[in-house]
Amino acid sequence: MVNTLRKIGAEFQNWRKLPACVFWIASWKRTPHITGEKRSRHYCQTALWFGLAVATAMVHITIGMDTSLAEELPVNDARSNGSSHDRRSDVGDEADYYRIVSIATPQTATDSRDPNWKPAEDGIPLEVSGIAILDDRRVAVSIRKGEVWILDHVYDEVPDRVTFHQFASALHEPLGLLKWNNALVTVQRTEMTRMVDIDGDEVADLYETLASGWGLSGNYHEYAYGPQADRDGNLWLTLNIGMGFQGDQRSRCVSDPILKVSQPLWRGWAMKRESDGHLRPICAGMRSPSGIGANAEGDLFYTDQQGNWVATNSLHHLREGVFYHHPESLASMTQPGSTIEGITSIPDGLPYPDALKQFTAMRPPAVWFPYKKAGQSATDILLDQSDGKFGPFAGQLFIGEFTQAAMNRVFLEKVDGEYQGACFPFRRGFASAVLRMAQGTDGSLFVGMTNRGWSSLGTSSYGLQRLVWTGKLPFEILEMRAKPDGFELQFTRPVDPNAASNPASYRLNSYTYLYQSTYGSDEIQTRELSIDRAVVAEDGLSVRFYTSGLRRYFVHELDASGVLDVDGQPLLHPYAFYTLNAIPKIESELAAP
Amino acid sequence: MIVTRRLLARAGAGPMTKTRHTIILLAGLFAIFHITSLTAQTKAPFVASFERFGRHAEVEEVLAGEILLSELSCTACHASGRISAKGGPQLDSVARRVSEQWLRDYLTSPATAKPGTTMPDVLSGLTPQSKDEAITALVAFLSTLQADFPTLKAGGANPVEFEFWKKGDADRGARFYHQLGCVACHAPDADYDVAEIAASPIDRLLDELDPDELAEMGLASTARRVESVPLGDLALKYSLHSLTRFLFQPEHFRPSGRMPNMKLAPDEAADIAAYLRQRRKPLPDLGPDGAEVVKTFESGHSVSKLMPSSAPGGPDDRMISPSTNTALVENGRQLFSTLGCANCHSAGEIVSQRFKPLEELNLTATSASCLVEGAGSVTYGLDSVQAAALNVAINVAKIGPTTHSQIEGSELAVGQAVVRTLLQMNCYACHTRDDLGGVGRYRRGYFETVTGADLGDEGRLPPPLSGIGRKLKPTWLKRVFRGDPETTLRPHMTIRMPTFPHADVTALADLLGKVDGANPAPASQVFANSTAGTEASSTGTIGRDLIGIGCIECHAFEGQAMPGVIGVDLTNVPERVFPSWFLDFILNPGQIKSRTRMPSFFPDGKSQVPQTLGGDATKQIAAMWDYLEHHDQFGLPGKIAAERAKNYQLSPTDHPLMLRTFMNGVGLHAIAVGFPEGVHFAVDASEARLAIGWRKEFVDARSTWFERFTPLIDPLGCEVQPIDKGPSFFNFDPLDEVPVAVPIEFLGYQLDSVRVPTFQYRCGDYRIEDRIVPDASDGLRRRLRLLADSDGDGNGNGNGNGNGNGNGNGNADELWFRVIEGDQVSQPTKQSFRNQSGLTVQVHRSNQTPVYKSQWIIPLHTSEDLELIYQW
Repeated sequence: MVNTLRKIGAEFQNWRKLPACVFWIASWKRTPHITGEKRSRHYCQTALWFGLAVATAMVHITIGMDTSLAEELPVNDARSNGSSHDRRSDVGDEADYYRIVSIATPQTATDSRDPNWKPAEDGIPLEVSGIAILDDRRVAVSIRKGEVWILDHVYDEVPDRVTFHQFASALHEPLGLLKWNNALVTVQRTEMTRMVDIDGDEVADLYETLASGWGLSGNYHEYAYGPQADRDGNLWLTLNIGMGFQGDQRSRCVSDPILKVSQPLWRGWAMKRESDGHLRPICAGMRSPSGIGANAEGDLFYTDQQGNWVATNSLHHLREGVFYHHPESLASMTQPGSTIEGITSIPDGLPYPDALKQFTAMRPPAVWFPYKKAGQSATDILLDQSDGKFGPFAGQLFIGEFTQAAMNRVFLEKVDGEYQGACFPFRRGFASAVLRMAQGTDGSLFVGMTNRGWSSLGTSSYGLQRLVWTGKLPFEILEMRAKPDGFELQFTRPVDPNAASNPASYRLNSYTYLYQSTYGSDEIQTRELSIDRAVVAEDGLSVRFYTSGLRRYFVHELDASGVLDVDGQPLLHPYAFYTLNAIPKIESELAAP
Repeated sequence: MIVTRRLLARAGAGPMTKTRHTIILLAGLFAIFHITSLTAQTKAPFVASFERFGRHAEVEEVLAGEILLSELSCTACHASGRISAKGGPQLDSVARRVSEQWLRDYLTSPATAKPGTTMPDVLSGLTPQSKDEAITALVAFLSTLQADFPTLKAGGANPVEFEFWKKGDADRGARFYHQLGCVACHAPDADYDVAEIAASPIDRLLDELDPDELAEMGLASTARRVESVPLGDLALKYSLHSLTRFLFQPEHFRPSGRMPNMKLAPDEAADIAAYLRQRRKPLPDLGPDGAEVVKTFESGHSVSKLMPSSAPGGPDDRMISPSTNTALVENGRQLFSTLGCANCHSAGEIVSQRFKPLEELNLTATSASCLVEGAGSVTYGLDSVQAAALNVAINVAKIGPTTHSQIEGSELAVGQAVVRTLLQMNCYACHTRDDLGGVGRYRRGYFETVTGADLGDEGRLPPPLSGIGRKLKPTWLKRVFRGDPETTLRPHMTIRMPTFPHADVTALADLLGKVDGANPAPASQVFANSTAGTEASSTGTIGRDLIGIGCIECHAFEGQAMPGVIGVDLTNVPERVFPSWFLDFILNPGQIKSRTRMPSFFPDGKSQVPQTLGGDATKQIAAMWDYLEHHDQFGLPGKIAAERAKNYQLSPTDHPLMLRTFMNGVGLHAIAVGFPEGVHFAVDASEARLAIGWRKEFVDARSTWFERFTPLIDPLGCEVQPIDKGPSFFNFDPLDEVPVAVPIEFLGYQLDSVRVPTFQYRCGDYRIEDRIVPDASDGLRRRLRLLADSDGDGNGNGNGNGNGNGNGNGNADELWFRVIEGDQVSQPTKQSFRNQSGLTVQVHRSNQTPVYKSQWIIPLHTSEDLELIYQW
């Protein structure tokens, strides 16, 4: 009854739209599926509608309350004034394409930054810091408290019979988990550890130190992340820079006498444990490298987080001897085993392209994630290896996002032998800060979360969720490739040629950042580029657009809000951010990765 | 209207029949009349506290009139020394905030476009044509006011999504709107389910009595419905962006502070904006049970979508494009000044108009047009009650300060100023003070506890303010008003205390103390009689134990509470309250705070703990104060400490427990191992060093597990004994007499069937297995086993072994172990060694070999384990 009344109210708001009304009245005849009960209700509503319209007219005539009535029952066309967004409410949202299943998202009473932070009263504090897929029923997760748990029945559609089994304990803030040669390997604050169940009771008995020897001062920020295996079977880890040393922490640092920087040994470096057991420093300049991952070719990458010397979050290709950005890591430059030498000065406060010119040892990130637009703190890197089971993005990378409890997506290509590419918003709305992702056997992503010590969006302080493709194809920019005089966009669905060939459907900006010792950087030297023309491919799946004024090393921000698919639907995410470290010199016909 | 409701109720119960359809139709017709007649009533300006108290003569008519003088901003034009005008929104960014249509509608008829608005129609004296022209000019001028919204800095502690205002979730917004406190002033949605709150005896009484009886019993106010501050048509007025920005920072746009800052995070503001923009206005007359009301708004339409603008170029932040017609803009600017708009609204450099001061107004003349509808160019739409109250207040102002209460600075005047501010800011919507105000009868259901626990009204309703100035220090009150997060003492309530940055509210911090008779004497004075000459440190312990007896049964301490207890945290009491109040309140809570749940621990001023401090109540309360002031020196009250330990203390019972951590005396590679026997140790894994042993409790793991700043921890128990200090393993050539430390590489540990770890190290050409367990003598028993390193290459990780070649001259086979360390080591027997710290080490080995006394080292052999017993 109440619902019916409500519906009357809703319909009633359209009272001025006479043509629509006529159509509505007529519609029941033309709609064969409206039968029986439904038809009678339809009929009654129609009658009602007329009744109401007449009554309204009476009210208008007799009381003359036109304005107050309009104010009670606002008219739709007035409502759209100044808010063209509302038109898009039919786009559907991310959940239509990727839905989130909550395996554990408990409520905690304390704030994520409370010094007296407490986990939820019942259950395991599932501050997931590492995920290893075991099989098509179970995953193992490491948690920040220092334990490894094996969870069963985690793929259930309604995960209400998940069981928890403790596999390991007494670890010092492990921040990664890898299934490796029938054992689980993690990286703790002080070492890389292999955990083995020897006696078959599913509880680790052997905690074997696979690697250690990096420095630490006791500073809270000295996190160690990993491991990540490379194609040769080496195990990689990354080491945070220490921040705000206190007391005698400085005394545990090494220093570079020329650069006058000081940090514990190998802080800000990536290290590799080789199969002979040696741990070698590989590359430097990291600030807070909380994610390591491989792309489809098996090349390794890491993510970094905005802060001092780091303008905004970034994705970097891990290579021997490379320096990325944080100069305090160079405290270890002259230590035995270092792969970097000869850096004698660090520019401070230069626009990034100028800094690269002056500081030739520095290599730019493959992708910048513009602040807020593509997250506030990048974390894990996950390669979609599902061959389509997780949707149209096979072979691309997903990047965890801590503060915004979200995930971004990355497309990479090689130009002049170096990786560069674009990032795109992908999915928001997780229950807490996304720190870890792992792809299950069915292609879905397990998402490990914890926001303690910082802050994040979401409803929980920690937990485990699963992101599942619904099977519905989202309308997205699949790829964005650099061209000598513009970009080429690949879409997941054919575009409407009219909209997509209209240059006004796009807006392109470029900007860069300051390389500086202070925290982060604003976007600087922002310039809008004009789109001269856009050419839609015959299959409607790609668009080549032409512009002038591409700038090397600048982020090129595309807003393709005007592009529609053949059904007139706009893009689910119209933004793309391309980091143009190199402008291709020739148009290549083959879109080789 | 009652007929309509009854009809509807009946129709709702019936089956789907033809009769029912007829009834629906009828009901629909009635509904329309119902709505229109109600809106017709809302022509008059709505001032929340006037409607609630002034209209019903629950405050003096003068005061009621004065509230209107400020809230209708009369004194913005007719200046008065005593009553400052509320003033209107600042308009610097108005063109980015409201839609053009709404602005035109609003200027055409303010009270129609926004029912209850306090802005008068200043164009009512114009002919329709010149009114139209004036509006066009004003809109043109206002269209040029395009100031940016305040910058919103994102950071690790402040998540701000890109275009966050487009990402609101209306369902979440509905929850926030109803839970955080919006409905303290604004109308709730009849659809929103609230927790069932059992009707109190007083509620039942209120239901039974008729109006006359209620009035007779002084319950009329309690029984009366509190009218809601109308919201107007927000969807027509605002964009998602501008509404979100307003909700996030209302004081920026409306400096009057009447709409307080609800401490919303950006995403929360977006959620509420999404909800408010999608919801149709609820009926102003929400039925007591919410069910009988005809609703005209649709629900269930979610706007939790990503809604980027359809054309590239980013968000459509500009609601009104700036006019390029400079003449028209200039015309509007002039009008803005001459019409007196600038008297209330800041909009750049605009001259405001001067009118007669309030005291000089002649209410009998035709110039009293503001008070009489249609009499002049300015129309407020006042109803007769409002006009009468204003008349009284203006007349009193004209007479000048004749009564005591109007003499500036007098006690009564201060008291009235306090009440006036509380009325103006509508503090009474949530708080009671001296029997006035409080959450309205039909709104109470929206005030809940976070967990749904039933804690009575004290646990869900904002605290009463009677006598608050006697209790709370002005410094604390100011922190509360400015929204210092540390002042949130009731996290168990869904309602939030908003931020009130307005200067009038800040001034309350001091005024309340004056009115309520605060005694700001320091503790030393208040407790002078009882604690004179007593050291704070000795009574602090007593205070801690007293607090541990009673207070903690209902209060939390340092974020820790007894099981099931939800109560205000006592940790910072001395920061908040005056010592004098503390003393009085603890002595007799009921006398200070009526109907409090706080029991008296000193009935008739007598302590229940006669053996403590001679049973002297004041001394005991002083001791509690001492403790609260220095609690960090005395530790937590016993039961609270035990409760915390339950969650974080590692207590080995069946098998050993371990913790890797940073530890004082052990280092950054500490591995602590605790045994059910009550003897524990920690090793420094980087040096294969048995660093310390201790007894009784093992460790508290809280800071290692959950604290961001990873402090070094200490053993929890007692009799902490340092054991090995430095390197323990050496290459040694007796001829050289100088042992050379051999670098150690930690290889991990293996747990046996009873989960005792055996640590493994690589040391030169050897592997060492190190197993330490409790000894029957209440000490530790250690077994060192030396193994030839078959697979090791003697090369550590990274650069870890720069000087691993100290094997002197040819004694590479030998690895030596330092048994004990110290300046004054003695050897009571051949096999035992003792140092100055009280440590005794017994060496058990069949083949006892020489100990080099200068170094206290002995060789290790692969053929035989070395067993050591540590006692202290």
